[in-house]
Amino acid sequence: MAAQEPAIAIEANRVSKVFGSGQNEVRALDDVSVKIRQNEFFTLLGPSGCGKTTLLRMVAGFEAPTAGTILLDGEDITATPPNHRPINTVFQSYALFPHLTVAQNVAFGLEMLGKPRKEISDTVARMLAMVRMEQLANRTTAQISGGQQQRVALARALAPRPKVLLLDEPLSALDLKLRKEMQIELKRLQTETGITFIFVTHDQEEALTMSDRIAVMSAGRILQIGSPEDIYNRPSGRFVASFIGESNFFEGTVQGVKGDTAEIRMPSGHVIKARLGKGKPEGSVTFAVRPEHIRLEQFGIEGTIPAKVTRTVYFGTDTHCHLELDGGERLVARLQNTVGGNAAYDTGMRAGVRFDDGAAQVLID
Amino acid sequence: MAEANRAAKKGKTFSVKTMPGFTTVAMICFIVLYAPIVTLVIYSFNAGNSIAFWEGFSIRWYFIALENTVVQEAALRSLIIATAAAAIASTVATMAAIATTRTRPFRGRTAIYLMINQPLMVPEIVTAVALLIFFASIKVATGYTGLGYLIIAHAAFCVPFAYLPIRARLESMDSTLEAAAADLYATPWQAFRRITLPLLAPGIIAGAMLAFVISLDDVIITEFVKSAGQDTLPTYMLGQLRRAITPEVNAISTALLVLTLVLLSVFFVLTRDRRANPD
Repeated sequence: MAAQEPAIAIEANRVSKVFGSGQNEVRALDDVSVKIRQNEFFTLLGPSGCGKTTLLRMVAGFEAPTAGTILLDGEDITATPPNHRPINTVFQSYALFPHLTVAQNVAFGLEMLGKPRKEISDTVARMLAMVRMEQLANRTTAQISGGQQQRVALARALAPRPKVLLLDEPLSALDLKLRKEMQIELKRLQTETGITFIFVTHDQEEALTMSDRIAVMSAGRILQIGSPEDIYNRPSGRFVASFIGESNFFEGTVQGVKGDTAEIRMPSGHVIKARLGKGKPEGSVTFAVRPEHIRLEQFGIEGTIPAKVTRTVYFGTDTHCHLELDGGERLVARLQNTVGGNAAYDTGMRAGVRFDDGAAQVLID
Repeated sequence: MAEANRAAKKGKTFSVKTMPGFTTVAMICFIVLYAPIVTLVIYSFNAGNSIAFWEGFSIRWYFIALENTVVQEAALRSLIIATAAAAIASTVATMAAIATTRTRPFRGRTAIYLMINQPLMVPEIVTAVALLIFFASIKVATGYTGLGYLIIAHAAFCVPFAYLPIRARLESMDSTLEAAAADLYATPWQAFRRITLPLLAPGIIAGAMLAFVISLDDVIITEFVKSAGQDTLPTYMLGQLRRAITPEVNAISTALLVLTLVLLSVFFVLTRDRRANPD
């Protein structure tokens, strides 16, 4: 291992989980391996049923893998019960203890660890201040709002200073405005505490705005791990490209490969340049282009693909322009609206489509 | 079904008011249920010696009952048995409820559920005879003739009454709370003691009260199991009925009725509270 390699907090090593048996067998996780670094904001992103919560519950210790091991700081904790793991969880339902006050909830973990009274009260005060809940310390959890419960759940999980904090879709119950606030808040807390956060969500925007790295999951497998930019700009496959942001997909034939770019001939006969992911594609391939990486120019300009505008939809900040290429492919271009509006292209008009340099990404499927 | 759908579409729902004779039937049912009890309560205040001829208002039968040492002893015995039986039954029921709701489904869990609720299904007279024979052999072997037999017998048939409200409370309780406690370094015992038990308390109290009430008015099993001189209030009253009957029995019954109503009211308040504050 190289000296520069960052330290690993959590490692899942070839983990599988099978629920039920026989005909009812469900493979929730299928040979998943992932290394999560220390002090990292790591997100497990995927649609419901992709296995992300199962993986989180295994790290917490609520679920035992059918095969494989879980390591914390290089130590095998697969068989360690949850109360012996220095890992705390913020539950989707918050799971605050309804018979205890806010302060008693935050103190619970420290009490179970047998910390001295003075230390407990100091830490509780500091935690409540950190999530700005010190005014409501003596309320019961039924007397505070959803957003406040969320903060208490965070303070409670952070109070024992765990090595890893697990967050199971904690923002899904909040309204949009509060959710945006909490996104910033979570990122701040992670930076301030320096604790490894593992965040589970099905919301791609949450994942992109907060994470250092994202693992995109589907059907019990990890499809791609990378920074938000990596995942968004260089999706490995069709699922990742369509699950995170929007994408236009095209078919084409590889004509030649130069370095990490390929020349691809589209059915209309036009040749475009596309970035290559891993591997060397040959013959027929699929490539993706983001709607915001498409330019519209006047019909007939050299190097553009002729197209017809079939529909425009106004979105406030931008306008979505639905187009049909002469080759028959349909696509959506997202055009930024300016002060003067964006009436340049209207339904039925002809236009020339141009992909930005590096906009097209070859997908491996 | 189709007709009901059509009626619903027209905005008309099924109404008992439109059923001919429904009100009459309901009234008859209520009269049959409550008129005897009302009569019993009224005649407990009779000044005379009869339970059928009204001779003026008096509360003397209550004093007569209170001063009757046999009644005092029977009442004390009833309370001791009911308290002990309720305590044992609710403890056993709590453990059984946890074992049947907080574990992974295992083979035979349904069978266990049925076995716990056996006293609700097996005719009481069968249990009574069985216990009589069973305890008789123990009596011969050990020579012990105390209240223990009655307490054990009552505890046994009270278990399902305590089990049902406790189980209901446990099932409505979010098991994530226990997971959260474990996540925050609580051992299984600490999680039970600090989280499960306090949240379960209303269910346990409700179960214990129901068990207490059920034990308090049991006749059949008590009659079979009791040794000589171990009359409880209900068996004492049964014995009285064989002799000259006086409003004293009415007075004792009324007192039992009031106690039961108070306990059941508390029970309903506790179990309703569960639905009002879903944890």
